[in-house]
Amino acid sequence: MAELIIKNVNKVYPNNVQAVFDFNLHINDGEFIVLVGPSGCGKSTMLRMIVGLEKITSGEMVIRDYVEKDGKKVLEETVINNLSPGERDIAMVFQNYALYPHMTVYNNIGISLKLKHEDKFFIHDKVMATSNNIGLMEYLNRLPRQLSGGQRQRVALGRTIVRNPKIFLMDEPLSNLDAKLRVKTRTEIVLLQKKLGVTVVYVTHDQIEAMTMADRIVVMNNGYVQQVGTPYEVYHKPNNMFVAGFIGSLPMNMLRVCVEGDYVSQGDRRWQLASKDIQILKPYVGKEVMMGVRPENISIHPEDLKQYQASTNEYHIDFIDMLGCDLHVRMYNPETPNVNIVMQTSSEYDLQKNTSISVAFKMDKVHFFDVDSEERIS
Amino acid sequence: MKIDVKIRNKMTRIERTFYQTNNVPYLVVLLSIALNLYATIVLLNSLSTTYLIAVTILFNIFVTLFLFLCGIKVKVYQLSWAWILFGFVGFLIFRTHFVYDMLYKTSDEVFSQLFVINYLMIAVLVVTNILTLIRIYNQRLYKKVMSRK
Repeated sequence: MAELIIKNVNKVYPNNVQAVFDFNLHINDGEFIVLVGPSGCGKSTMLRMIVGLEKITSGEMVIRDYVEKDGKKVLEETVINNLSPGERDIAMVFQNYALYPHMTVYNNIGISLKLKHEDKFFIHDKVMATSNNIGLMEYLNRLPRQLSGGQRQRVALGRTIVRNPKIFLMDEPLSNLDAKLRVKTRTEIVLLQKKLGVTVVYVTHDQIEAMTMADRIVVMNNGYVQQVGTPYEVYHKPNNMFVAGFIGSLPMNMLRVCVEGDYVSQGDRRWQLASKDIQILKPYVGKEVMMGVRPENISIHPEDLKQYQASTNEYHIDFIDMLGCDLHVRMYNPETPNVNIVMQTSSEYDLQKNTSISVAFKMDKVHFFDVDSEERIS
Repeated sequence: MKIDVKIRNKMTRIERTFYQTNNVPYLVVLLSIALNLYATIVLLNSLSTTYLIAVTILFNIFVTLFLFLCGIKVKVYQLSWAWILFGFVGFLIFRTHFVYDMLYKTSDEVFSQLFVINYLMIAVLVVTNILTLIRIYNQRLYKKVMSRK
């Protein structure tokens, strides 16, 4: 397996639309990288540039790999900018699987080796070993149309594994699966990746998929990299308002507040700042900032109301989503009815629509962003 | 060591047949359909216009369909159809030595052409059928050995 180094890569289409701006990333050997972002943010373009289906406008892409020379392992760097997709030794799994419908699973998995004119015994051994690895032994004689979506996806995966490429690319491979199968298959992919120790670049617009699968996440928007970090970093220390809003199954609540010494306010509402934030927000005293609070950090628990007494305010319940174990409660401040906040709380609470409740913001867990630049204040 | 490799290769060869269709015998059966068509044309060309032409055409359409069915079944390693193909080989021998002479009363020149075509069909069908039978019996043996393990 190999490392992939992407330096200052830009992509400008002939109609002068720039899809990717100055993309820099160092992908380590055996790492699971997920490119995540909304539709049209340039993540699939980036993937297609890595595999060689799109030409890069400027920048450099390098594969660093250990190769055997005279019985010794030597580190080799290959600039892949101008190599054809076949020469790059990178395998890609597509969203629509791209399996040959007239070929059995056995032949679909072995096709790349057959095209390389490998020995038929070698092909057989590789196909059997791969199918065993991905649990397809029972389906080798079936045609793709006789398989479920998850099984087809595994065949597509097997077809790439059998080639033993340097890097695996996956372009939204789970988006054609139903919700249950998606959860199961994503676990299988991660386990398989860990077992084989391969380097994977995975593209998705589903941030839950990104959070659960990635070693590191690359959040993209409008062709720019917004943040690169572990799922923990991206969730708990978002670089800007876009990342804060995009990552998390419920978006972060954003409130425009005024910094007033050791507290922030919005109209008659006040929230006592945590001691760490008082110092950070000193330059912003008298100015407005955006305060971000995750739905799970808004609480109605009596102990929290006591602990964060200085950050407790009355809100009016607008709507309640019952999710079994959790409630998603949409609330608003009667003074500013257009600004809603969402709280995630246990379904044990008996909350009613169109009633008022006291809610506490866990101020040691809130984030502050600059109003103009939308960057994190830290 | 060499014996090990040989045995392993043989096992792999058998194992592969479980996942791949019996393509060569299938193609040979298709070839024999083409040869039969050629034999039919040669035969029809030599016949005077009688009801026998219609019978010959209808019968050969049946033969073509039957051979195609055999080909499809042999392609997926069906033992019974491999034996049925041997029966067809018997029919070809009977046709060459008795039917052409007794029913059609073909000339020597036409007969020699038909003789060559029919024996070509017989030869390729016998060879590929033996190959198919070996593969099928090997598969059975392999399954037996594996079930013991």
